[in-house]
Amino acid sequence: MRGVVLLSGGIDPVSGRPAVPRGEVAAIGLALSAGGAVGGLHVGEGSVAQRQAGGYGLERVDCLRGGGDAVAILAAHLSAPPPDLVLAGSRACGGEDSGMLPYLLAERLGWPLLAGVMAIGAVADGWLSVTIGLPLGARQEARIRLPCILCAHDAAPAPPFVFDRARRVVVRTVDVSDAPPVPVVEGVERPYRARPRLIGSAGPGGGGTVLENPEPAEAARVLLAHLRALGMLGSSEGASIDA
Amino acid sequence: MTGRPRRDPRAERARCLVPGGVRPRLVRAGWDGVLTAEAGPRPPAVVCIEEPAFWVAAIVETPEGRPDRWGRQVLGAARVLAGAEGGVVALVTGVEAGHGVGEGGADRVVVLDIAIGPEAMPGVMLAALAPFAPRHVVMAETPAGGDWARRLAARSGWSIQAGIEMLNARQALRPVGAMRRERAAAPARVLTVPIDRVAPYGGMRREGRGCVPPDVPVLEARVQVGPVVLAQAAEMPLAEAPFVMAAGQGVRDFDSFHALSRFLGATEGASRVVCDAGLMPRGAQVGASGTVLDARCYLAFGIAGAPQHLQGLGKVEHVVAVNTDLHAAIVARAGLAIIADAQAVMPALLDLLREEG
Repeated sequence: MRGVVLLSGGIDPVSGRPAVPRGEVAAIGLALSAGGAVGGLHVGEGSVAQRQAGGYGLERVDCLRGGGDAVAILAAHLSAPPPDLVLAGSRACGGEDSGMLPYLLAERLGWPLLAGVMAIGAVADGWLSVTIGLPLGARQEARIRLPCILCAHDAAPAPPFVFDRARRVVVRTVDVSDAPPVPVVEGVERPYRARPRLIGSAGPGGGGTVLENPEPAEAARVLLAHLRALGMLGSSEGASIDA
Repeated sequence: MTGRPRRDPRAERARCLVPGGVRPRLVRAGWDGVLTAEAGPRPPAVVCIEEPAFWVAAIVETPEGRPDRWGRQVLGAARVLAGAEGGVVALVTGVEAGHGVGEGGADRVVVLDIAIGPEAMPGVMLAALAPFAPRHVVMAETPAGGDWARRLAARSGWSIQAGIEMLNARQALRPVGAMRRERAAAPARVLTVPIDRVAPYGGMRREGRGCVPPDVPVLEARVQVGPVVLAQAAEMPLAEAPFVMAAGQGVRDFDSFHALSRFLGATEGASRVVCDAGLMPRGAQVGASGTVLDARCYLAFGIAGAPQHLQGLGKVEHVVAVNTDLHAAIVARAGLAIIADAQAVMPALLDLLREEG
C-alpha cells in the first residue's frame, strides 16, 4: 500500500522554530504501521521541519513549489498516480491552523475521510479498517473505502525520532504550475494574548451536605444514593462485572 | 381643623398588602391581575418569535438527553450572534433531545438522528438548514462537532472560523500561527466554540418549537462506523477518567479500596503521601505534581485536601469526601462530606453493593 503524509510548514508553539507538529508525527506513525512505501508531501519551500519529519521514518519528502491554492496543487499532484492512503495531522501548526485542508482535499478529490484515527488495521476487498479515538478513552471501529484520507488523533502512538534518518532523508523540490490564488483572509492579526476561560460554570460546589459521625451502614447508604443521583453508577454496572 | 379627611396610613398599607407569602408585599398599583396571577403557580414567561429578521443555527450534541455545559455555551454563542432580531434554530443530535434546549435559548428545534454517519452528516445538516438559510452556524469544537463543522464548510464552501476564543456580534477572535498570533475578524458563516469560552444564554426562556427533520435519502456509504466501545475504568488515563476514586493517608485497607473501585467502576487515584509510601503507583497521584483531573465526580477516602492536592481537582464538578476531620479543607470543597473513618465506610459500602447485586 502506498501512503502519503501531508506535512505542514509547522513551527514550535513556544520557540517559533520549525518543528513537526504532534499530529503529523502521529500520522507518520500510522502510515508506517499500514506498511508499504511512505512519502511526505509539502506545499511550499522545504524547511528544517520536513527534514525532521524524515527522522520519524519518511524515506522521501516532496516539496511542491508553486504559487496559489495549496488544495488545488495537492489535488493535481495526488490525482496523477493516486496513492492508496493520504494521512494528515489533526491541524497544521503555524499557518491558519483551521484543520480544513484534509476536508477540502477530500471534497476536491471525492475521497472519503475519517478524523481522529488511532490505529490502522487490515485491508479487505478495498476496505480499510481503522480505530477511532473518542473522549474518555472510548474507541470506535470503522471501515473506509480506499483510496481515502485519514486525520490522525493527536494521541496516536508516535514513532521514535532517529537523527540518522533525518540526515539521510531525500528532500526533493518539485516545480508545479501555479494554482488560482486563495482569497485574502480579512481581519486584524496581532500577537496572541491568553484570555481567561469562563469561571464558575464548573466551579467548586462548596458548602455541601456534611454528615457527622454516622453509622457506617448509614454512611454507605447516603454515599451510594448521592452517587446514583449524580448518575455515576448507571453505565458502570456492566464494567464492574467483567472487571 | 381643616375640612380635609384624615389619612389612615395603616389601612392604606393593609389594602396594598398581598395575602399569603412569608414576607409582606405591597402592590401600590392596584389589585387588578395580581390575585388571578397569585392563584396558581405562574408559568415561566416564554419568548416566542414568529418571523425573525434572520436565523442563526446552533448544532448541539446531547449525550445525556439534554444539552450539557458545552451545548448550552454553543446555544449562548448563537444567541449572541442572533441579537434581538434574529432567531436561533438548534439542530440537536440525540434521541430524546427536546429538553432544555428552549431554556438554552433556542427558538426552533430540529432533532437529527444520532445514527447518521459522519459522511452523510453534512448533507443532512444542509437539508435541515435549507428552510432557515442561517447567517451563521455555531458548533462545539468537540471531536464530533469539529469534524461536522469542517465537513459542512468543505461541502458548502462556507467560510469557517475554528476554535474562537472571544465572540460578540461584530467580531470573532481566534488563535492562528501555532497559538502565537491571533486574528480578529467579522464572524464567519461557520464557527466552532471550545469549552468555557462563550457564556451560556441567561435570558428569558425561548420557545424551542419542534420542527420536522428533513427526509434525506441515504446514499451509498464509503464509511461504515461501528458501535462505540467504552473504556475500562481501570485502564483509563487518570486525566481523561470521568469518575475517580482516590485514597489518602486515612486509607490503610487497600484490599477494600481496590474492590470498591472495581464495583463502582471508578479509576483509582491517590494523594502524594500514599504514592510516596509506595502503596499506589506514581501515575495515580492527583494534584499539582501529579495529574490534574477532568473528572465529573471525585470520591476521596481519607484525604484532607492539601492545597497542592486540591489544585488537581480544578475542573471536577462533584466532590464526595469521607474523612475523620470535620475541619479538613476537602470538606469545604465537597458536595457531600461524611465525617467517618474510611476503614469502616468502605466495607459497609461494599456490603451494600454486594447485597444489591
